Amino acid sequence: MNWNLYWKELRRNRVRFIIWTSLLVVFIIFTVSVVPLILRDREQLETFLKLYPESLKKVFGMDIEAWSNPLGIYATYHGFYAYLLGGIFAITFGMEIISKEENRRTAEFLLTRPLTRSEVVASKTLAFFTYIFAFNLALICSVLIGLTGFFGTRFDLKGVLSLGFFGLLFTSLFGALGLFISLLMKRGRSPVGVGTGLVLVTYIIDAFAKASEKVNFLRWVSPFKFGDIDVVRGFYGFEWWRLLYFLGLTALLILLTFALYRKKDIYV
Amino acid sequence: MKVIETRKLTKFYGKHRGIVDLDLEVEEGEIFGFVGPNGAGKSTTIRTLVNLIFPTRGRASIFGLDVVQDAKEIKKHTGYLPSEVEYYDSMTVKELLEYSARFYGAPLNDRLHELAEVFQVELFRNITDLSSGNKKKVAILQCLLHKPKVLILDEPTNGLDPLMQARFYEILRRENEQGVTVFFSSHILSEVQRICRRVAIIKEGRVVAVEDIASLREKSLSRVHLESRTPISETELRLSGVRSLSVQGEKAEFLYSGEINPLLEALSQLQQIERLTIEEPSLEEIFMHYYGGEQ
Repeated sequence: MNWNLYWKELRRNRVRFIIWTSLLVVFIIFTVSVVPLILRDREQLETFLKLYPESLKKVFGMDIEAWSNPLGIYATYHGFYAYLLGGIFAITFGMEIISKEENRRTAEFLLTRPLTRSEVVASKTLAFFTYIFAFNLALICSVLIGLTGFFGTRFDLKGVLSLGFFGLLFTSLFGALGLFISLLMKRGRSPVGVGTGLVLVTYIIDAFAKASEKVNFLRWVSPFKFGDIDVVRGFYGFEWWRLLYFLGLTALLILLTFALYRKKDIYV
Repeated sequence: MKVIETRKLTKFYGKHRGIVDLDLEVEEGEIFGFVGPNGAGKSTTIRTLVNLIFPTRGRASIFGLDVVQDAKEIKKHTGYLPSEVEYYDSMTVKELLEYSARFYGAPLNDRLHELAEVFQVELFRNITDLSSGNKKKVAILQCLLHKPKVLILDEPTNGLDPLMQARFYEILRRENEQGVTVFFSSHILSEVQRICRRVAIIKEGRVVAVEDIASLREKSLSRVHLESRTPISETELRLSGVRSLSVQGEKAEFLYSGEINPLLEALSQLQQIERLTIEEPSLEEIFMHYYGGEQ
């Protein structure tokens, strides 16, 4: 671990963090502010939703039962903000934090300083997870502040914390995936395109596989299956197998990143 | 004591040859030249020494430490100057040098101001605003600031104007007098001749010769162009040391090896010379003559 590099990485990536976090906090506050309107017009919405085929409702996560309480309504959107957009933020960030040294030709400077390859990965990974933690904390705080503002204490705190916890697991996993695949990519390839594509593909696979029993098995290839929690029915998904899936896969990807980078030829 | 040593050092990029069975020995306190044409394997050797890339086989050591296993320890005492310099955006020169110094656990000292003055580096300018020559000067400062015991320089004068080149050589000599070992890579033979005591010549990934500069000077080669008012006869130019002679009417061209005074004396015997130019041939031409047959 090298603290000089760690602090430098925090400084280098603060604008990215501020932009993404502010954007999602604004989305969340806006969404929470719409929740009272949805609750008021719930009956009309129910009639409207009945017109949709079941499979389509499953694809878009429209569950009338879920819309019976404030958190249920909000949670439908949280999947999109924290898991999908958060996933894109995490994977593109993960893909850039190590590979940008090669892409911007600064690797020659960094790797000729007295530090080991493992120290480079450790310092950058810690800086990355510092921001991922702060990002999820900011998101969940804004959900709590928003719901408290509009509904006082009339929502399930455990449900909110559970959403935040899974957000952290999701973004950690996608970030670790980004760290790993950036070392396999050729120099000059855009991490934004590849990273966004990967998150969207896994999201779409999960969404469509939910719609039909025939292709339901496809959900197993997507992390979205493992983070699928139902806050309305009081099922928060704190099962060990879910936790093991996220933590195990994240740890494995990080270990592989260390192993690969220790032996990687650096071209500038 | 050998500061840099390589044994059968080999690097392949897939099927492409980088360097093959490279054996080098650089003694403590010497300025060692490493010359070869572009693509010969100079940068591959250097990048292996500073552990940016890993050898396919063979080994290399600096201060007796393995360049792969003990890279961190080696880098504490090594100053590396790359051929082309790239730095982080949005930093001033001083911020970059402070950032670099922190890796060595040593704060910036008086040496910074002295070197900045010698190389006319403006410490508060943003790196993004610097020309490639000015970035190179920053790289020189950054390479010297932590008082390294060995300097590994890859085409170090690339992008420097003649005045800065002269100052750079002066600094190198001064560092060397204080015991610093210098590994100086270049594709310009005259540059290496100017400062080094010994030189290794690399061609197509292999070291073809390690020579004392003095013996290389004896072999020094010049390209001579001659124009006369009257047609030149080939027999007039059949002098000792003349090679690759080509005569076309009033013009003649040849390579000459050896002391220059005997050549000038012989040429002065010729009548009606209108124009005479003597220049250093390209490194490729020198290799063709001295080392071409060895491959």
